[in-house]
Amino acid sequence: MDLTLLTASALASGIKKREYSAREVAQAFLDRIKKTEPAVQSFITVTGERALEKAAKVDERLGRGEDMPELAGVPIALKDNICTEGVRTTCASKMLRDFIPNYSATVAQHLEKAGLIMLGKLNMDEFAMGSTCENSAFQTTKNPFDTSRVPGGSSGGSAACVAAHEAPLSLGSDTGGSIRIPASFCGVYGLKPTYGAVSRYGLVAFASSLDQIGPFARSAADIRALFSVINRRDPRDMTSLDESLFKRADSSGWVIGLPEEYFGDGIDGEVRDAVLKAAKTFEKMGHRVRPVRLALSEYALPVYYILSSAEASSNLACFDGVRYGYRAPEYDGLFDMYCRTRSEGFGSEVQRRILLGTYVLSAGFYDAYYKKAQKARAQIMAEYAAVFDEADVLLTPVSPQTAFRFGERTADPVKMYMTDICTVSVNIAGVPALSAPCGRDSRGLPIGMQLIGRRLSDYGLIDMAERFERHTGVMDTMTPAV
Amino acid sequence: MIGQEEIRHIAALARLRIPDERMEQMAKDMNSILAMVDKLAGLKDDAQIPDSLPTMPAGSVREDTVRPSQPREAVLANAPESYAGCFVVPKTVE
Repeated sequence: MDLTLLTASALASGIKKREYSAREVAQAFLDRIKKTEPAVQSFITVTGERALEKAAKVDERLGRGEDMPELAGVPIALKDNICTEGVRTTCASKMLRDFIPNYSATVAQHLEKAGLIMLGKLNMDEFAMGSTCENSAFQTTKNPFDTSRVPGGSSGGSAACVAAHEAPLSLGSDTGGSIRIPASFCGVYGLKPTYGAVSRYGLVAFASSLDQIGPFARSAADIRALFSVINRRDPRDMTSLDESLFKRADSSGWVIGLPEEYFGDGIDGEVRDAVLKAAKTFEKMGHRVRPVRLALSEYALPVYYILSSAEASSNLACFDGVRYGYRAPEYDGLFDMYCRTRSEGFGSEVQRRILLGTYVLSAGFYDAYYKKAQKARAQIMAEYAAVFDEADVLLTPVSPQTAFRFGERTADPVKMYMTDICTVSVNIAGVPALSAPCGRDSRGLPIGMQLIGRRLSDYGLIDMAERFERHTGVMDTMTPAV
Repeated sequence: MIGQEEIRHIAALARLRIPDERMEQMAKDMNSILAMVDKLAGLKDDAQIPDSLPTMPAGSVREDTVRPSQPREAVLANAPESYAGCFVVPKTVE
């Protein structure tokens, strides 16, 4: 039996029944990584030995008859912006090439307590800034469905490794679509939880008011199982919410809103047709579908790039060559040391966003850009609150098109930013959204649909995707080329 | 429109230095990004919205109690340069 073909829930059940050991499972995935990594390149660091040791410990505890958590012994991999004690955490940046954290992020601690086995750390766009994973300072992760195409970003490694069966589960982070876009490009599930559902302590910050960690998996049930491990209030993150607010929900009968702004000219015809077909399927399943309006959608992208860049310019000020990370080898005095360190350590996209963020916060431009964007954010949040009076959930495409070829958008930053047009408003509003596979285009590339819910409705979105998965058998068609 | 001089000024504020050979491209990129974000000027302000606002409902804050911090050696282990338990920085006074 090829263990790497199983879902996390099936693996967990087999490990508990002692049909195979956690060590055998970890070894099977490490073998798979060895075989597929030359083509996919999703891992920056593989922690094979550590994984086998931890798996053996789970086996020992099960052998003693201990009652273990639901996902004990199941392998997982983490985006490389989540701090892991003693394991290099690079953010795919030259700046943190050799950074070894002396503490673990809260989510990593939860995984450890739940008995999950970390296989390694995953490639991403540098400091999570990008939509294709092409901004990594180290390597280019390929889409497992077509290795001449991008996996999406910024959590490209997190999506590609799950799609390529290198791990049954992974964690990524989403600031403006960074979980949902790669999930849709790679034919897997990816949840951007409600802001506050998951602790950000130990996540290297990009834009603190928008960042959220979330799970990737190949089944909706696995998303639920992993989300329930990491959905915990954390006293070290004052924006985190009590898990008791997140109720298991039954989505049957939910009214689905189709925001017409998300089905317009910029959306590829095959993507539009697949998402509208999914809406028809939901109708057959007993849901009512109705058109809704999100008239402020056209302002979401400017608001997002102003606010996220402003926050990034502040958050990334800590990389100054003093306490950790890269320091330029040659400099003349303190100011020069800062400038050389940051200009040599950061890649060009990160520098562009720091410049934009500094500009919109600078004297004379603050009111026109930052303050205006904050007000617009409040308007967008109010619009979302109102639309959920008309519908329980919104159904949209995740990205205007399926995975494109390497280099297709790197020359034009604005063209690249348009990749995020369907996802950024969700982070601005702080609501949850799930990217779920809903079909493949004529080239065989996966198409993702986005289910957007009210704050705290994360479990309802997962329930809805699980019903769709059962009704359509969509995951049976998501077989990657590698 | 943002010019090269202004970009140099902003870069200095951000402790970045854009080399001359990359400046033309950077100015082009910045101007195309600004043209995109300038679209926001078309949005009518909602008079109901205050100038500053809590963007998200926060969880609750924890008690401010003294707890052990990370050991000094562990923190210094990632420093580019350290000496006698301190971070070393270039001389800052003449």
